[in-house]
Amino acid sequence: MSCADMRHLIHLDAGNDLHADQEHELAGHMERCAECRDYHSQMLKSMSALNVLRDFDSAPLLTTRPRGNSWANLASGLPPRTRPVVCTRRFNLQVAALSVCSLAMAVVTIVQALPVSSYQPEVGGVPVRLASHGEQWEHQPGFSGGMGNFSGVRPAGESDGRIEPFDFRNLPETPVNLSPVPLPVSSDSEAAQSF
Amino acid sequence: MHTMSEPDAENLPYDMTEPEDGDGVFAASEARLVNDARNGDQQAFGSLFARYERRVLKVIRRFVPDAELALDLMQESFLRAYERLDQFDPSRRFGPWLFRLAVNLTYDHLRKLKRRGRWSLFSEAGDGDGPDPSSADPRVNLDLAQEVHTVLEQIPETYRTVLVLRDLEGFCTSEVAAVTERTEATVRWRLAEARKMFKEAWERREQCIGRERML
Repeated sequence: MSCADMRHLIHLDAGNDLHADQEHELAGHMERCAECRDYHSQMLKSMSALNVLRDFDSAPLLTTRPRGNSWANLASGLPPRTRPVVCTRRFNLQVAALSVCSLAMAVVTIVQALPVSSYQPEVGGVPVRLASHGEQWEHQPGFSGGMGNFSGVRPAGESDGRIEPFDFRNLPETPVNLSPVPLPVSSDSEAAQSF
Repeated sequence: MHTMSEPDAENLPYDMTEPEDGDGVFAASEARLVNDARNGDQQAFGSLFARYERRVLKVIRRFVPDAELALDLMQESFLRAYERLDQFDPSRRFGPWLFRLAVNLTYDHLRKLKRRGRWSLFSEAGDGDGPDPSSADPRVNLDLAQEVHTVLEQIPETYRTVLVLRDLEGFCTSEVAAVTERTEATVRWRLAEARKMFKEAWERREQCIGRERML
């Protein structure tokens, strides 16, 4: 093992945390390596400083607040505890797995039953759905993106089952009443209360 | 029947001997106390408090020098333990769980203090007395334990926790592993690194003092 590996053992040896075989290995290395011996002595010196703090006892602190007093303070702040409810329910994995499987099968069945769309977009045209053949689309000319040349669709009635274009420009003009509608007010006091 | 080991604790009917690790009887009685406390028996929790009060306080004081603050944190740790007894796994030992709560609570408090100091307009300036100009190095007058504590604060929390629990509080490696919820191999590696960090920081401090003395 290299000196770097031995340094790791030296750190552990400073607190007597080495296994017997590691101790033997470290002792053998330090007999040969003066540098590691020096490092080991420095390590022990640092640890002796740490031991000063270890021997520093916090016992005087307890005399300022007696033990019984500490517990009395704590007990006064303890919230009441209720008996914990023992949970006897267990998660049933089989039911969950069956539910997921059946849901997946349902989704697959629905997706397979869906019609395949033959819609193909055409520039400048409006797709018009045929009333009698719902799956087929027919492109109607006249849509250019502006409001002036738009043609909507509407059912064509009973004639041939097709949908004919609807021209919005021929809509009858109906007057729009924009006058304000008066609110029913019973009295001032009621209005104030409701407000 | 339980015996009273301390006459001043009137409300603690349980045995209040100090914890002895590896004692099966102690572990069994502790498990019973924990179970009773979980069922709402405050006196059982009082016995747990009496068992661990001193050790928890000592551990907290390793991180917090202020005695009164350490006492408050100790009480807060027990309070939190009582509130979270439902989360405690009864198949495990109560001590490491309690120490972990206390250490985490202490670190949370220290982080809060650090954040407050970072963003506050005015920081606490201690007792207001500056260093004595007649003294060449004010740190020489400091208590050595306080100096070691200052050096310890330079070590990152992860490593400092292991170092404090093992080298200052005398926890064995398995106990430190239980408190920190790490494997013993990880604890040993962190312990070696922590001692290395402490050695380097301590030597830097000694070099700094040596240079100032020469000036």
